[in-house]
Amino acid sequence: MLTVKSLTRSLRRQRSGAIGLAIVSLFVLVAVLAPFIAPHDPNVVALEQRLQSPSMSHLLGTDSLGRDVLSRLIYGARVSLLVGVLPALLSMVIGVVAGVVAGYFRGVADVVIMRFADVQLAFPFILLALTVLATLGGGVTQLILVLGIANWVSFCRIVRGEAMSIREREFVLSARAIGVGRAQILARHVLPNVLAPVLVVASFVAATNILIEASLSFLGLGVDASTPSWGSMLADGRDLLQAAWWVETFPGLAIVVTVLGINLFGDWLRDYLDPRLPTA
Amino acid sequence: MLRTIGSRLLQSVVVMVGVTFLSFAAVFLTGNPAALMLGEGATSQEIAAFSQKMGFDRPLLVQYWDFISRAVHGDFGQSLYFKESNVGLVLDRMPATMELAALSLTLSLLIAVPLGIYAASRRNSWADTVASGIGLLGQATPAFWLGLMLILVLGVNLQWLPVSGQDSWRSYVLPTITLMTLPLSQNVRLGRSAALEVLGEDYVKTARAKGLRERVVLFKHVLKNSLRPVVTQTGLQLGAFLGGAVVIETVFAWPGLGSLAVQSITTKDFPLLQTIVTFMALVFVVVNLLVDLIYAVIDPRVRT
Repeated sequence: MLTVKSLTRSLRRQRSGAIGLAIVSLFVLVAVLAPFIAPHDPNVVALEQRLQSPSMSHLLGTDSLGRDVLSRLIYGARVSLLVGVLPALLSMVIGVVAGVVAGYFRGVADVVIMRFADVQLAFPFILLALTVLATLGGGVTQLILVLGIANWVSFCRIVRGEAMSIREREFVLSARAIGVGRAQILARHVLPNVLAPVLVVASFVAATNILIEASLSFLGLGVDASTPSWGSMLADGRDLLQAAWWVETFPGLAIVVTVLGINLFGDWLRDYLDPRLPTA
Repeated sequence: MLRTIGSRLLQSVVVMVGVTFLSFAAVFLTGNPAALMLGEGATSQEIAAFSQKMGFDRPLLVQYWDFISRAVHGDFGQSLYFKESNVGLVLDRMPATMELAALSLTLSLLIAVPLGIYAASRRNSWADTVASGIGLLGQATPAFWLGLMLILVLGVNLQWLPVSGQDSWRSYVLPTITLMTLPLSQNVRLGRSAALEVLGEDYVKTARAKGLRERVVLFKHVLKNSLRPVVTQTGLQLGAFLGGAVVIETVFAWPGLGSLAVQSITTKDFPLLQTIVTFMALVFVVVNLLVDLIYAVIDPRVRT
């Protein structure tokens, strides 16, 4: 059962899960509270203060335009949260709908959806993302759409499998026999059963999305340079490696810690929600 | 057997058609590919003339058919920026990418599989901790950033290794380590969990029971049977791997396909970009086809 007590007990047993949860909570808090905790305005240019090394007034130094690196990191968490979570939700919605249709209704729809999924799984997807973003130009919206379409297959497969097994189970057969409608069966019996694995996949997808945002923004195809994002900061810092190591180092560390936290959390979530799954 | 091969071939063709069509159609997303390729400075007459020359006014499917029928004869047209044959440019850059990819994938397998098996055979030992650490950290680190940090420490500060170009074996060290990060961490995790599964199998218990030395058990039984999921996964991850190579080659100014791709993006050279995407997809499809066919030949369980 999902109770606060069982949650805390499980977190105490699997300490890496507690660490993951702490990192994820901190990340979300920082993103939400950015305007209140950032020591400086992330976009104020102060050329007389450019490339200052870390000090008391600028804890993580300043970049080539004299902007405060720490404040940009804090605001950058917002972009990462957005670009990590929103596309994951989008993939989840597409994947769950496709999975339910394929697994519960079977037939032609199933064949078409699964062929589509096969082809997409076999795609070197990032290459297509490069082409699309090079055409449309970068930006948060484009990024969310491209990443959202990229990952629906992993959700679809899980939901399809679950829907297929549930539709033959006795409680569903008897619900059908007493005349419960399809929509209600799906809402009452199928969706709650796929919730756990879907959440687990969503956490891993969100972590990957943050990494892809970093690569694409680094190439100048993601978030544009004026918005503080961890990826665009890495692009800025690249030519400053020798002059100002802090501009390149800290955004990278922020990504490593955040993605590590999400993955630890996801590992724990999988073990907690579904003990039957093998532990990686 | 023949049916397996036939359906896999068909699937590969479908993937190639899908990739080429999408990369071809993507250019039309803005509605005016000629304006996109010429950039902001172009006059409307220039755009109209270029559009006519490239045949952009024809229906999309007709253009795609034209593209495909020339592509199968090896004709991918001319690069807008370099004014050279696209195929020539791609084939020029391909070896550098392949060398680096082969080197880092091979090394990652050589390190990851034994480490994964050793970690699985001694759970909670130091080796297990190291293996889990590599798996977790490697998957959380943007590889290109790690590359930049290596450049900072080993190249700039200590000046031990060259940080760009492809001059001697020393130039291979940093790009290889960087490119290896992702496959290494994935393969360690996968190798470990595959080995854990194999260690629980009856034939391993039998081998131990009949008194085989642990080294022989691990080497003969566990290694062989853990290898398959790892190699299959490596094939499937090749797309993400090549995508990562695009960024990493740029960081190290490596004269490969990846840095050519970035160059084609910044110069809006879309015909060249399409050619690169097509060739990378071809590599991906051929490698995965080979992996599957090799298994179909050596492993009777696959032949269904």
